[in-house]
Amino acid sequence: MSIPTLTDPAASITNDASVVEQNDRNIAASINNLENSTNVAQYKGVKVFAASGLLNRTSTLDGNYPNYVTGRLVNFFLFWNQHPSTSDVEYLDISGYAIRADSTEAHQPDLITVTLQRSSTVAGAYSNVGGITLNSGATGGLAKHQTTDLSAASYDTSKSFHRVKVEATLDSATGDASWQNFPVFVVVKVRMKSASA
Amino acid sequence: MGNPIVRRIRNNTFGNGPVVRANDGALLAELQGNAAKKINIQSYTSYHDISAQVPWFALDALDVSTDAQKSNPSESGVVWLHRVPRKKTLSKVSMYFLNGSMIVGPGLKTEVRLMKSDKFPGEPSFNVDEMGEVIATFAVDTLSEQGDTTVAEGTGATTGHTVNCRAGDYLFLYSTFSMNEGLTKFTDFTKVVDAGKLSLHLVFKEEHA
Repeated sequence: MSIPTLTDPAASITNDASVVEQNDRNIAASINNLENSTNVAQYKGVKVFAASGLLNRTSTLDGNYPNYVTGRLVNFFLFWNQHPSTSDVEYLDISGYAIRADSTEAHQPDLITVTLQRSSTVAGAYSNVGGITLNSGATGGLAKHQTTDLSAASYDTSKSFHRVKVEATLDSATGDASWQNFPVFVVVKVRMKSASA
Repeated sequence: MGNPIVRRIRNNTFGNGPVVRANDGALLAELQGNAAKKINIQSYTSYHDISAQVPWFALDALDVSTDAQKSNPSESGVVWLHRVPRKKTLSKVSMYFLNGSMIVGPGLKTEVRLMKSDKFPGEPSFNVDEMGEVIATFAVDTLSEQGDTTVAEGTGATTGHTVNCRAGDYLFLYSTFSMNEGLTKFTDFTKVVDAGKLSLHLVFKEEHA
């Protein structure tokens, strides 16, 4: 629908009542074909993408076979190809927390960085949109739920491929660079908005 | 809410207040009413998404045995399932391998199909037609290769669809595999099982509720 055309009846010197009538008809037609971008005040829905997983070093396979988690980095912890990829798509926020899987408090990563990234091709290169950092040394530790507002980031219609990259640093307290004994469970949620279709 | 009825105003009747007022009243009634989808709102559907990282071949979901020959390819399994909670339309499917590159030995064929059925796929069959409707397929086929095949990161595709799903329908990933006759590289297959993760992303359209 477009904005209905209304003509000023006072301009009708012939006392043409059809002007008033046509105005009403135009309004009626407009009511009957509401467009989300011009007529509906709140027309976007919230999209939620979520994932959880254990960052745990798996045994090395013979040959050139990647593991789901090799050490501390997972590039595609969460993946999607945003649709529709239109300029009215919005980012809302990214949030998450982590729980150490080892019973010993020192056995956990110092930091876990969770980053939302986007790209024009599925295999990259990916650029950052925003993210959170979970800090085992901060109040609440890794398990403290962190949220970063992403509403200031504008959507790029040419970069529909999205992923959440999760990376854990080694534990400096023990100096154990291998890290394999310190698995950690990570939970991530990304929220976006997109229009009705 | 429906189409407001506007009455005709005759010429030289500007003073005929009741007609003008009746028309304005009809419009006011519509504006005060609830705008109904399909009748009044042009775009009355929303998109929502499902995203998952799924092993191509979850070992505990498959009957993996050493006799999985091409001539008797009975090994198959359902590795992911979603029951449609309400009527919606599947609009887009993305299936990609995103775990770095992977080398697959010759003589193997692995297929992961996104399928739809109104029946619970509780008893996987190698007869794909019996399982339901195939929507999209991700495959690694080295049956006719002589040497190793590298599966690059980003292998896969995004495809558009208009698949109407009813409440209660099942969408699922159905995996099958087979090997060339006499192939003894069963360990190669188990590596594919361990390394192969499929990044699945589904986009649905559904009416506002």
